Amino acid sequence: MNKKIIFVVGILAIFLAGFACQVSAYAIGASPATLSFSIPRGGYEEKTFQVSTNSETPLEFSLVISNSINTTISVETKDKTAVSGKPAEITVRAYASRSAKPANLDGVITALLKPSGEARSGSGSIISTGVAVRIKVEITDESAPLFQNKMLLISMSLIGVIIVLGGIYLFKFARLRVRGKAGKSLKPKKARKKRKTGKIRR
Amino acid sequence: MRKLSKIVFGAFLVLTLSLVCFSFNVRADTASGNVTIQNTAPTMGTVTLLNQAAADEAITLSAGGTVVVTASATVTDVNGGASVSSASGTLYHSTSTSGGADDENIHITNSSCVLGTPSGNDILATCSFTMNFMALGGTWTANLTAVDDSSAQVSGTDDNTVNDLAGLDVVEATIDFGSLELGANSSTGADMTVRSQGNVQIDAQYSGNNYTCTVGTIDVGNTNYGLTDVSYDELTTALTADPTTQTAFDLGVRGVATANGANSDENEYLGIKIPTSGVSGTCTNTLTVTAIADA
Repeated sequence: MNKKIIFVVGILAIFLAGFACQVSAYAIGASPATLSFSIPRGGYEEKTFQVSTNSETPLEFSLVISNSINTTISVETKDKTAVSGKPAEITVRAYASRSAKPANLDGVITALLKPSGEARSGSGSIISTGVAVRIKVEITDESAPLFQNKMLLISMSLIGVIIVLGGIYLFKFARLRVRGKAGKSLKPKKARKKRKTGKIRR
Repeated sequence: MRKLSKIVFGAFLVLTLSLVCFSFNVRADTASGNVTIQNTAPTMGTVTLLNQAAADEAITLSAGGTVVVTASATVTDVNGGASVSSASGTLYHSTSTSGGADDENIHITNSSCVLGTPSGNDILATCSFTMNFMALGGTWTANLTAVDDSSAQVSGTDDNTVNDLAGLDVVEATIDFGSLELGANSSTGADMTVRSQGNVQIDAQYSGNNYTCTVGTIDVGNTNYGLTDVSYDELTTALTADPTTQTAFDLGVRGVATANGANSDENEYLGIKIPTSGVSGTCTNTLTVTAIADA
């Protein structure tokens, strides 16, 4: 009787183990599949792509930028997890230094999911899936304006105006203090000038 | 006698007046509610095809799943918004037409769109369309049609773009090479099924790391792979730590490379060679399969 139970449980365990190993990995995708940038020297451009999955549980992924473009491309994302109905949005920024030479660069940004399976009998290859977005960057022969960012330009201008006004005020205030200490008249320049010419009688 | 004639005259007068009044009443009765107002066909305002995030931007599909997009327009009927009785719509790729047959890659129909609450002569018609991962990239057009009580109809269209989507999944979670002796190799390749989950043809990139065994390690390069089920020695491409693109992979889009409703799959075969010494027990590594749009 015991042998029969052990046999049935054994068969069931093998069946379940086999079933578990046949569970499909989750789909992963990226859209758009290709991002193209065209930037002048000293300029930058931003675009976004989405990493999506059909998994009902949030899946964590990592991002890898290929060597051919890793000095030109940077990525930014709030969240490196994707779940069915809620893809992760990745912002890609391509930039070129002012000394960069005109070039056409090709590379990929790869989103890799963590492996979800376990090797059967503890032996074999655990499959991990990912998706690569093709990146094409054209650095043109033109030069970007010194301040490509308008907000930065406005902020810098405002700061400049405040510094100049502050400097003028401080200069005048310091002059008045010096005169006051020396016991000199604090009358305006014009009045003193007129007095010298005799147009104002005391 | 004179009195009698006065009575007869009075009776005649009363009778005459009664007949006149009765005749007026009858006339008023037959004239009421007998006006027929002619129907005027409805008109449609601007149609807007919004993406999955309800924004007027490009549509981005979801790998292995669906997204819902909506097209809406205000329908005006001078006979009253309530006289608009139904709305329907089609969403189709630039390679199809509004009247084309439904196809998971290029054509979707919604025969019962939602009508909002009438406001005077206006009523909002909203059509939802469920787009699958295999819906082709490019320009899609939404065509909305509204019909009133008298079967007069009006239509309008709007375009939007569907982005390319590269996607896959691997049916198996693991590859098992079984039990092998030192110095032996797997005589036949282990099968792995890669399934398309996007709307563009893809290649696969393969990479892996060294196998960690109970005792020792096996180099990642001891794994060979290929697209045909042959012996280990005939699988000529060795697995590497850096991703290598298999340009001959060319996994097509479901519904384009296959019939509608049939998955688009590609088999990959892998084999392993065990070193002659230095390893024992169980060995595992990670094999990474990456989708990349076919160049």
